[in-house]
Amino acid sequence: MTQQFIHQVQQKMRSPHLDLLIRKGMQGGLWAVTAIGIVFLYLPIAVLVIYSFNASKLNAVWQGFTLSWYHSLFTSVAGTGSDFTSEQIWEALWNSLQVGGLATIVATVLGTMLALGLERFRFQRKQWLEGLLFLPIVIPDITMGISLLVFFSLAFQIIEQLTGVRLVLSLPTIIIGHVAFNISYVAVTVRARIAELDPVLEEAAMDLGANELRTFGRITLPLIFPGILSGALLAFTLSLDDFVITFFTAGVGSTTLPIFVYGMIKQSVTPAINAISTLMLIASLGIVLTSLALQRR
Amino acid sequence: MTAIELVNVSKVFLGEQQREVRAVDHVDLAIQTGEFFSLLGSSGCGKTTILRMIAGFELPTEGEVLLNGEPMGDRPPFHRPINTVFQNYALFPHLTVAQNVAFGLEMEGVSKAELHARVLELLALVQLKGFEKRRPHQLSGGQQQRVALARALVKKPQVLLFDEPLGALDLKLRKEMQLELKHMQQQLGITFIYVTHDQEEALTMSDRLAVLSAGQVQQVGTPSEIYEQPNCRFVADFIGESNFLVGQVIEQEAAGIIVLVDGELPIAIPGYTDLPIGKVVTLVIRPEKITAHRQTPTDEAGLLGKIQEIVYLGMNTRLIVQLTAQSQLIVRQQNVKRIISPMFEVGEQIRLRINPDNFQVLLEGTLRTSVQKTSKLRR
Ligand SMILES: Nc1ncnc2c1ncn2[C@@H]1O[C@H](COP(=O)(O)OP(=O)(O)O)[C@@H](O)[C@H]1O
Ligand SMILES: [Mg+2]
Repeated sequence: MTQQFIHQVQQKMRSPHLDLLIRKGMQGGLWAVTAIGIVFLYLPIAVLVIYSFNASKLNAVWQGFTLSWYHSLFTSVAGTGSDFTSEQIWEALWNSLQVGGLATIVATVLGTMLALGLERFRFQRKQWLEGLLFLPIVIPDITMGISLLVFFSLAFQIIEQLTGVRLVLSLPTIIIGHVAFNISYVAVTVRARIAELDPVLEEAAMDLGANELRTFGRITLPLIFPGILSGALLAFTLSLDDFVITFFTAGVGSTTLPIFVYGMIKQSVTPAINAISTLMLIASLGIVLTSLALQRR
Repeated sequence: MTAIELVNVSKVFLGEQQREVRAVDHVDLAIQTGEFFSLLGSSGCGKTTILRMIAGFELPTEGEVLLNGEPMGDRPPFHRPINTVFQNYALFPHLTVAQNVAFGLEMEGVSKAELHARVLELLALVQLKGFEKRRPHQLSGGQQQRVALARALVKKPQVLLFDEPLGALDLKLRKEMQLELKHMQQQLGITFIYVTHDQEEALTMSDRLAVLSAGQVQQVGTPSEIYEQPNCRFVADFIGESNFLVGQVIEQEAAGIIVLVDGELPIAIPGYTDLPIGKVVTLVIRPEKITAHRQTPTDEAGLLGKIQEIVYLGMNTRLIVQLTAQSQLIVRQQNVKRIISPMFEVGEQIRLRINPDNFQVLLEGTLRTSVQKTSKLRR
């Protein structure tokens, strides 16, 4: 009796209608989960952007549209009751750009050379070096920041004992810290591009009379250049946005934009923070999209 | 004069898990100036590796490559007056057609005016006038092939290397390009070394060719020498279709020998009188060199066999005929007349006639006769 029943159920389970239902259900479920994921990711950001246009000084209540918070970023001067001056903002931005620019240039050159070496040379234990390449990407920022701090204070101590010169944390130390983590990102991006490059093209150039240097300049470099540029843009964004590592390697007078924003929050939460964050978001997004477009090319 | 010579050249690669792969195994070759020379062999037999050692991309593990009698040693590719047309053309994707062709001249430091003139001249030669500004991806396979050719020819190389250059083209275009390349080679008088796995291509284009197998040269010769006088079973089997009959020399006469095939069928072969009695040999005969005939009571000439299979192929008919207990012969009968009703039937006993001069005798083979048959022979 029960056996027969089970058999019947199994038969029903195998029916094409049920299969269709399961498929529909799975598809619908997948859509729902995707939607929830997207909401989770982007709702806070949407709130941030929306409230940067809020006329109220309190984040919680919507009181109408205004551009005054954006305006205040450019016009605040000392003694007008504002928590910040636009001069401070410009200085922080300038520091960020200096750090980002220099760290990007150094990290791009070193990262590209590392990528070429890893892709072109065969040596023993190569996998180990490849693993090390990913370490700065997976390592927690806080670990990286603290280790850099420990490293710098140790290095400064030794330098002071040897030469009597006393060094302090400042922009150069931030730059060194940013180079340290950016090399990995550049190398990984450039390597993906080199892997796509057919080595026969380089052989063809040599076959036609180009030595290694000219082959690199005329064939290899132009062909991997989109990858290099893409890696550089990625490094620049990461550098602009970095807070944790900068926090540990920054000294007095070397405030970058993220550090400055953090300082503002500690004083008072004003929608001006939303405005400045929105601008940073747009800038980063623009650079990252450019970088992605270059990778596709 | 010898353009390229390989003296006892071997190449050993370190493959997976440090295992040694002998890609080229003690190869000796002498390629004459102005010759169209092909390297023919199946995939993985070492053709590309030989070409890369001539071009200078790989250095021999042993032996020496010579150009015009001069040892190349470890001279890099950019110091050898040799150019290559690569398997998938290897055109520079970021340069235009004209820039691709000009690349080799730029490296020589040729003046702007001369460079321009030479590029136009070469593009005209390969019938690509007006395509100067295009990028490689905007060209068809055949056009890319021509750019690759122009790019190599502009260097006026002494030797031009081709690695399966037509492999990616469709059949019709391939045939056209074969003719064109052959004409170009005859006009320019440049030594061509041409790698292919396509035997028809090698036979139709080459002045001479080398048949390779497992990194070794099996035979070097003109296309007709390779086809008509294969020096080993591998070559006979690899080039076209061959029948093999293994037998033992049982008699020597003034004019020739008698070989007993499979211990039961005696076949008289002219010549080879120096072969000792008891020597095991393989007789090679091409299917088109056998004629099949109806049995008649009066006509006793030829070998008797029973038809196993008949396949009509339009231009000819392919018969498989059981000759001895162990051996079958493939026969290709030219359909010189229209075949309205079948000439033969499966199962029919027919006579096969072979001019004994058409047998190629190879001094190799293993007898397949059973113990029983051998003892019968002794009696
Ligand atoms: N760089 C290399 N490393 C290891 N093995 C190789 C290398 N190049 C070729 N081989 C091996 O050598 C053999 C011959 O290769 P190749 O010359 O490309 O043959 P073909 O061109 O006739 O197909 C193959 O077994 C191939 O796997
Ligand atoms: Mg090959």
